[in-house]
Amino acid sequence: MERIMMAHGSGGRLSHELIHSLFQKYLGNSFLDQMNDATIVPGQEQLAVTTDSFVVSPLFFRGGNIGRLAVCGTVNDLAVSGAAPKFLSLALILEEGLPLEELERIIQSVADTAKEAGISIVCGDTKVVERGSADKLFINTTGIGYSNRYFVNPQQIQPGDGILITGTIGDHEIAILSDREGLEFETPVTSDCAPLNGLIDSFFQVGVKCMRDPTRGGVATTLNELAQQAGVSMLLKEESLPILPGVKGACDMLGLDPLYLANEGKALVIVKPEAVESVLQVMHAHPLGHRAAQIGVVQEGKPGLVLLETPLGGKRIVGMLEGEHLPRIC
Amino acid sequence: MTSKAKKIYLNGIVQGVGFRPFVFKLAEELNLKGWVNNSSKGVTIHAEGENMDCFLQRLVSDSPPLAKILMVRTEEANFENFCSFHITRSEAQQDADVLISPDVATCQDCLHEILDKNNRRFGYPFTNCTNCGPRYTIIRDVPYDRAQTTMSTFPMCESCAAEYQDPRDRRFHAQPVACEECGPKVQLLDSSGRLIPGMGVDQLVQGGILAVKGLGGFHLVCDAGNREAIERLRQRKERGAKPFALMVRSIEKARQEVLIDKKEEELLLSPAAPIVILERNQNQANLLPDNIAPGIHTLGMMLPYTPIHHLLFKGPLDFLIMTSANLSGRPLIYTNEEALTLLNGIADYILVHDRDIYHPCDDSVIQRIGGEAVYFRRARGYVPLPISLTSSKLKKSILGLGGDLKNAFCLADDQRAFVSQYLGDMESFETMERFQQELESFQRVVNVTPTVIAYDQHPNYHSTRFALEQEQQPKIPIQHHHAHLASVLGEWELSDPTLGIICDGTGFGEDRCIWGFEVLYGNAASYERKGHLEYLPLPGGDAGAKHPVRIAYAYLKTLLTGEEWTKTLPLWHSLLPNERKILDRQLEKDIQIFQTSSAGRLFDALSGLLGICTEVTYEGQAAIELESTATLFLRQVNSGGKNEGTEDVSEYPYEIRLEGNEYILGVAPLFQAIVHDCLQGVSRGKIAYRFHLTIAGAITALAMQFQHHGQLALSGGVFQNKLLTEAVLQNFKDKNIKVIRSRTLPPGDGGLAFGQVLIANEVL
Ligand SMILES: [Fe+3]
Ligand SMILES: [Mg+2]
Ligand SMILES: [Zn+2]
Ligand SMILES: [Zn+2]
Repeated sequence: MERIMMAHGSGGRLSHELIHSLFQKYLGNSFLDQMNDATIVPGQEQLAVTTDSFVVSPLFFRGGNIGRLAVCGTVNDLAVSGAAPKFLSLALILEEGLPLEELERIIQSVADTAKEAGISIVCGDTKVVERGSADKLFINTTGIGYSNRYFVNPQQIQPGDGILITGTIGDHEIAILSDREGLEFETPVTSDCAPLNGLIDSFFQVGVKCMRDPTRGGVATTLNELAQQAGVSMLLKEESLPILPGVKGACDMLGLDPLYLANEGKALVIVKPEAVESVLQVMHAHPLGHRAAQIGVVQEGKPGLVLLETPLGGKRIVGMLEGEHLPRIC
Repeated sequence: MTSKAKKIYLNGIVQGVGFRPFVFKLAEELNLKGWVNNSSKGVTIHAEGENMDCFLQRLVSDSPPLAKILMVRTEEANFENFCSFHITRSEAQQDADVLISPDVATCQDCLHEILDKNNRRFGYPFTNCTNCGPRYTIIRDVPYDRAQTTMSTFPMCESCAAEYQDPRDRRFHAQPVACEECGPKVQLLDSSGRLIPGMGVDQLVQGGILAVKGLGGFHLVCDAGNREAIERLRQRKERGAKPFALMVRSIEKARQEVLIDKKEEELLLSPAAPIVILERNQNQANLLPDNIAPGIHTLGMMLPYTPIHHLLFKGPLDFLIMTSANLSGRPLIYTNEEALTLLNGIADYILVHDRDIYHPCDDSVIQRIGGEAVYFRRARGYVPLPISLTSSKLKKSILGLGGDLKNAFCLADDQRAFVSQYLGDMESFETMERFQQELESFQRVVNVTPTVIAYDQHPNYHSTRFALEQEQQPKIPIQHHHAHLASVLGEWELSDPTLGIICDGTGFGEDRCIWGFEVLYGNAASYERKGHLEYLPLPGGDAGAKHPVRIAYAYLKTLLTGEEWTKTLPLWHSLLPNERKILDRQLEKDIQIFQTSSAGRLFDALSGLLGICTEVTYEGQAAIELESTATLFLRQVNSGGKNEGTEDVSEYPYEIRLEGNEYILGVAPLFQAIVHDCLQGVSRGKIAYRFHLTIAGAITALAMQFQHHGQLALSGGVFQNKLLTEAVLQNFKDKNIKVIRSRTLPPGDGGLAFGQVLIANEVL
């Protein structure tokens, strides 16, 4: 089996081979083919730029791999900011010894996901580090998007607004956890990792005030940040949270709270009250949004306070998590 | 002849307990002149005359039953030649120092009146006098005066006013005095809000569920002899298996169902009228259905403590279910508005009244353990009695926030500490709001404005979050079990370092592990961890704690050798194959595993292993049912009803090993022996009983590593386990070691806040 060697990152023959046989083969396009020190891309007045680094174990998991994740993560950050993602950079840090075949599958997946998202990889970089200096493969992507729609921004959030989620929560983290640790839950869960720009394009309309993708820290952390920034309180309804039975079962077993689990293909959307129904309807029509639901409302109250109403009508505070959920029962 | 004049200042519980009429009558009897009044500083007397010494002595020795004098100060005064003795108006002052009385159960005099057809208060549900009635629950501010209570909206009629103004009357200055003509009234409504006649007695007989507004909040009430009604209540309240409390007509009737000794009788009949946990009578066929308290051998009972309750017993029913009206996990309902909206659908009828409750207050719960009353829940009837710190003085005014699940906070300054009523689980936002509301109003009633905050070290406690949001500085984080130790030592005013064994559920430890079975040596100023139960893996944290079998599985897999483990396989039939596979992986790869020395989880584990409790629907259920199983076994043995192995009800083996400076209690031998017994088909009652003996033995053995200390403090919620505690007490009695236990505060987290205050005071 062919593996990554230090020479693959030296800039010499092996580097070139890698670029030709892999990156250009799968990712090639008019921009990448310029092969200059910098790529010239067409622009406009308002650009959105974001960057993210991806380190995940295992590299391959149910529903995706690190390549797909690296494209989705950055595309989604642009998309929830209200921008249309266009260009992506791709920087790889490879650990000596990584099987080339795995790298190829990942690059293939980057290409497929880029195509799915309708964006181009426009520049890239590869470094190889010695065995043990990195864990197999790290990816950084920077994304550029056209921000020609009106600005989405937490300052517009007001009491009465609806809080929507585009689908089930916690899928990604449970999928990763079960694959990494070899946990076989009753119903296996697949990562939700997906580019959201198509879905967001479909429902984006006047009335959408703010969007966020609840990745690390999950819905709870994201809404806490949002509520703080907007200076409002939020009330979620436990019954309305879309949760797959597999995720629920895993959470019950492990003592995890789905509200704090990472998602990679979901957006939280704050919508003015009149628009809730129509936005939901459009979401439901999209393949990535058929489990979309209103999970709560923005309300007056202590700024930053996020509450969850249980089926019995009681409420509990959904705070920012400090570390782990330590046992409390005395 | 030179006449003497003196000013006498008294404080303590001297208001709302008939103190001024007592002074008045005493002065008249001894022919003294002058006056008495109430101020926010207490009671002040100006007395002139000959019998001064006798007067001073009898002021203390003959004071009314509900009075509690903490301080008497006298000074010489100018002789003003008064010609009579009279009671003058109350004066309000900035600094209130008067203690407010807790609520008091209806006295015999008032009871006779409401049952007497010829009395003008016949059947009147708000009858009270200076010796009884509402106090703390209706007080908005001090001094204690009708205008400062929720009775302020009921102007007295002429007859009531006459009683109120007559120093010779039992109702002289009884602030909540009222009658049918001028006072609050009850209304019975059906679920559609229609007014119906009566007080619901017939509806109870017919199996209806009544919401009744009482002293500190609403109760849900039904016929305790009616299994279907109880089942309906359970379902509507989504209550799981948690036992319901009972109200019983009389001690005599109670004896049909439970055993009551002299001290328990005193507790039931005391002015606080708490719920007392009593052992069910095993020798005769019980009349009450077992769905009142499924799986346990005790019943919580109380006697009627307001006229409304007495009137509910005018019908034929002797036992009523009387459970706090709250929705699962939420605080007690106490306003009419809330009751009408939230209890609709749970109660068929609602008995409301128009006297507002200002401080919602649950019933207190007590069990007699080792001859003493142990508070499970301290609320109505006891709050706001202070704990006096006679031998020390606090440096600042301090707020202790308490624990998270059975929260009660503590406000303290100078030489007094006030612990609030039980408030509940802070996970509930409504409880958190109730906590904040009570914190604010309690400050007014006890006149303590805290400048320092003490809180539990647990990073995820809601009280921790609350502490960090407050303005006060400093904020002092305190280790959970150190607070338990300081609390019990503080109650006994012990300041020397003392050995303590703290057994409870979970608390956040200094090493970030979850502590719970701790040998600590120290005092409020500092402590050392001298030993603990070995760390065992709790899978899934609090979620795991709801599934005792999972705990048992994780503990046994860790404790047993491969061969022993293989033998346990038949014991796990209640776990799904998949569940076991996941537990295996969790243990192997340390996924969501919390290392804990919890004593509570050890009891849970055994309860799960024996199949006594496989799913926990209320806090402590697994351990409580285990204790019941063990106690019933003991009763059978004692009554000679069981042949099986009475010869071998001894302790199981365990080990104590020294690791560094700590004595570690190892339980591998214990579980090896238990597994052996399980596989041999030994009854679970016997195993459960021997387990209790073993833990009692282990506690004793741990303490005996330090026997030179001669005394030992016990604290933590596990010491609400009567069987265990009494075995421990017996062990130490045999060894001549003095055991110190909580006496006016719960040993569980209800007593935590007081300990936090004392520790914070040392840190300052
Ligand atoms: Fe505790
Ligand atoms: Mg990002
Ligand atoms: Zn009375
Ligand atoms: Zn009247």
